[in-house]
Amino acid sequence: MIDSDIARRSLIKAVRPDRYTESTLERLVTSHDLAPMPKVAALAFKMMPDAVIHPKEAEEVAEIVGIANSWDIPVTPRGGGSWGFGGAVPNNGGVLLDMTSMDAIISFDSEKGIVRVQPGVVWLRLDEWLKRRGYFIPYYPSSAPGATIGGWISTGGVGVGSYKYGAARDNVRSLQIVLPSGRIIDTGHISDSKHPSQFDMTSLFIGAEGSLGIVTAIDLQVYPDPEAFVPASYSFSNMDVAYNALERISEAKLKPYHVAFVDDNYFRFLRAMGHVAPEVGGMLNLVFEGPKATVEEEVKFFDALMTSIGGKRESEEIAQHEWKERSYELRSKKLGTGAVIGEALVPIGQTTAVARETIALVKKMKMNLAVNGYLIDRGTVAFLPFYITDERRWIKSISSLSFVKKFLDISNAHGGRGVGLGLFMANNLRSMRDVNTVKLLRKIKYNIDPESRVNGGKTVELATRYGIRVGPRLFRFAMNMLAVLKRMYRRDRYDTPVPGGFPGGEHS
Amino acid sequence: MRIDLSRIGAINIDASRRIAIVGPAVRASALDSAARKAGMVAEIVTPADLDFTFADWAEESLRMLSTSNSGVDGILRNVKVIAPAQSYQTGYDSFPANGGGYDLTKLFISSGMTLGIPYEFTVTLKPIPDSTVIRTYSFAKLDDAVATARRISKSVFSSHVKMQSGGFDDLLVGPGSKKAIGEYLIITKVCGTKPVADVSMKAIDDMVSKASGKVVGDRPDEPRFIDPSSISNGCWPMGICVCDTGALADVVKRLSDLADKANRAFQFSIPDVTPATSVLLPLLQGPPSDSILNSIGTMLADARITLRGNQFWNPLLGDSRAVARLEVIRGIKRLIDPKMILNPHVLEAFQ
Repeated sequence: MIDSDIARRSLIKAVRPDRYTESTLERLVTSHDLAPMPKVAALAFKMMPDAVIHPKEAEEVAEIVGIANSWDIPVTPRGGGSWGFGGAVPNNGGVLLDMTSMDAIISFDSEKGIVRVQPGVVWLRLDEWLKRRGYFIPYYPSSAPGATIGGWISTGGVGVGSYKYGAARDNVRSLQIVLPSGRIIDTGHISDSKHPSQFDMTSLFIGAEGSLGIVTAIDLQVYPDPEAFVPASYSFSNMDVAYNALERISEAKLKPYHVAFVDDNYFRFLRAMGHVAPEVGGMLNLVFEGPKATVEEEVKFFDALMTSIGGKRESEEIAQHEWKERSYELRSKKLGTGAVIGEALVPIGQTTAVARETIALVKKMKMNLAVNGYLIDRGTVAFLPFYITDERRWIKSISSLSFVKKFLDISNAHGGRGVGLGLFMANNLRSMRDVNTVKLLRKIKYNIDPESRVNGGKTVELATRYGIRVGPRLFRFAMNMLAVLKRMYRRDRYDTPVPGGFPGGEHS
Repeated sequence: MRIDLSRIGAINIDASRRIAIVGPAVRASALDSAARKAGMVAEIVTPADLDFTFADWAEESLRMLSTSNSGVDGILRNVKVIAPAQSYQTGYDSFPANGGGYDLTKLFISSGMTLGIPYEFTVTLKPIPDSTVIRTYSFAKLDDAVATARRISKSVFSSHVKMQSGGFDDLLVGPGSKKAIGEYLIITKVCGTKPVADVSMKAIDDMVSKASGKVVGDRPDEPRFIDPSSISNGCWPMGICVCDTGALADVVKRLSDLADKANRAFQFSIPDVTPATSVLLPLLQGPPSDSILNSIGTMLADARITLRGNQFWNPLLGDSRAVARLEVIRGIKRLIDPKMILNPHVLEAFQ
């Protein structure tokens, strides 16, 4: 709880009584994100906030941050909570700002194609809003039905449509930020320019995971709704052939709008849940959009390319279904009680090698997982393996966490990088950036937020609830121990059909 | 001390990763030539086709680099810089800078070499398209040309749209003249496979004819680079402006009126038209008088148009958010360069 009555009263005054709560339920809900964290993690991190606040305006956020500064209260901004690295989870209690309450679409300039939104707007809602006006937003996270714009921007923003339209950072024209000092800034000079202003700070805050300030408004480039939109699915006998096909697509003279892949286990998990799913070795889902005439030519071109390298075009029904399922890639998590995702950017030429080593790791750790992913650009694949967990078997569940660390080690060894740092992966920063740059990043954090009060102890460092910083060696040792523990269990079983469908946990 | 970067001119093409790593002395033409030998092209647009070096661009905050959709971010992956006593990497060689930690690329390249001296740039490459068509259209009226260029840039048919006044090249590298601008040109580039390029070009042709424009002709797909040393002494670039595309026609008219009053020829180029903002390169038959300089400065600052250097920041200093922003920049500058030894003149507005 907030210790001081004066501080509590000030915070309530900054918003309104109905937008401040210390209810156990809300604090519990906001004490984790997509990744189910075992309760034992509370020994190191106070993930439960002391209070949850629902601000509506940037000025309210600024006032809350000012009060937090006066009373030394940690502040954690949170969007949809649809990521899995603890970026939106407190590490030392304090105030959690539920940014989903800032969900206004502020303005839209159709001539410029610029929409200004508050950070709590959900991607799918914005897309539907724009579609009614003849526009669409071609880049968004696969978790678009629940992810907020501010949240995804803060994670760096690669996802659906990045292959053709770039990442979020390529399309964010300016940000309004409440700094840890409580002051408000706009990051760009001319708010909607793709050309950087002098000392342009937009990119600095994109991907900062809320650790440099709190995003309170975003200018996004949007595009006219395309005349044609055609998904096409191609099945392959095995994933090696499918990964080769990814490479060939990246070398092609034309670019689809989106290129995603799923492996055979992905479908196996779905079948185990009682769903009807194709029995194939792997599948690539391509999507084309644009003027009808150019889309027709693109489809012809990629049809010929895919069939020449062993792909079989699936029916339109399957293609449409796979496209609709793009936001529900973790549907099979109901086989357990949750799913944990590893997410790495891998050089396209290394995809097969990373996949093979990941499979070997999975076998060694007696796990069972599925892989999906997509092309980010011509040189990069987002590789997302996920496994099912059951928190009710908490020792086994926590021992599985070591997979994510070891998977990221594999991708790093092949020139890849993990996506996101948050709380749990913050120590990976050292394997991603050179020593000098890591030091500079930390200095920037402390320069902007000297007390490390706004989403502190994450992203560029890992700090426990006691303020003790955990270095990579200790982290690596703990993960290795967990991996050993995991190997002592029997192999995971989430993949065989269960009579009656949803089993609600691992079956024996 | 002035540091001469002209000898750091290596080009390393990594076709498997589809990137080029180049030194600051590398010119656009040299990168283009090296990339093409490897079957690739860099998506770099050179304003007015001028063959600048990467160092030149960094000095100008790289505003002159751009691509159709994603601007400078889309092609510039990483910059290695030397700041006082330390070297840094602003991003990653191979990936968009979202692998983890703060992305410093845009901040460093927009600092006009105030935060660090770049010694290596990583830019992305793409396969040479099967078919590229570069077509020029002519318009009699400025408003029609700007509106059509904006429409084309929104349509996603074209990979790049630029616009310029009919006599721009003549004033830039030739004798120039005091003739009024007679025509406005739109130059569009489409690429892909031949059927896709043909379909796209036909759609653009239709847009142009509906707006009373006419086809001038096609340019061969050969890169055209103008040696900056051949820029005529008789012309004076007014600066590099980032301008609201909706205000372009008005800004150009006002600049043209200023030039008329001073009895000077005026031409302009817009090397990258986008729906929201565009880069404007106004060219005046020079040298300018003090009264012209003052008028231009006031006009551009009024319109909140950013210009090279910081002399037009002052009007923004009344804005409390701009002040807070400047303070963050000052803090970062002090972290990296505590003795303020790098390019101190850029920081005049900070004093």
